[in-house]
Amino acid sequence: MRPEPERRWILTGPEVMEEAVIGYRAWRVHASHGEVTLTSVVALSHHLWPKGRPMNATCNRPFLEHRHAGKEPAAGCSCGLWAFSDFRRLRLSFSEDAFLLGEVEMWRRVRVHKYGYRAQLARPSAIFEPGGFGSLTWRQSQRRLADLVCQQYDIPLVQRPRPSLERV
Amino acid sequence: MPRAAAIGDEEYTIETEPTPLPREVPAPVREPVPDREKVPA
Repeated sequence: MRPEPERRWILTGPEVMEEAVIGYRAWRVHASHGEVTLTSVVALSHHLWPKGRPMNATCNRPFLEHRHAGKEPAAGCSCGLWAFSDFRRLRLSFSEDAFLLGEVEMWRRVRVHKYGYRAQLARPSAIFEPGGFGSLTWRQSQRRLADLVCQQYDIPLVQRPRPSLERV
Repeated sequence: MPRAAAIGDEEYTIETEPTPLPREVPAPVREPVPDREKVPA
């Protein structure tokens, strides 16, 4: 039987909390002049994850009249902020040599899929210590990048979760 | 993130609402118990 989504209460504003779903996802990192920004894994994406406030989903359907503005993530669409529900599945899909992997808190409207989620609002809540099979120099540079991301997003660098024994 | 195949079919939706932080309930103030010896009979 499919496990219930992992959830936790988080502060989403002054004196306000909300119950967030916990997911696992990958990011690219855009670095410029010491400033690092998490971005979508889709190459050439302009979706930059903000610091200190949540990322808001926007529907990017090509025709304006088909977009689900204000209703993201819409049923039957691919809009919304994506994450896997299982860390093992994330690792099978994304190489740690190319991406930073981490934990994300997702709330407000969350579409639950068989292996993951699409959310209206999300924010990174932790970055996992980079692993991968790259050279020592590459792994050290990934670690420095992860440290910078954690420092600038004010989130912890943590050990990767133990993959669940669930078959993927 | 990857296309729909990666996270599979949609199953259901969770909607959450902002909830005010629970305020700490102040401990009840106890009335001082009068000293038995001083209570008039």
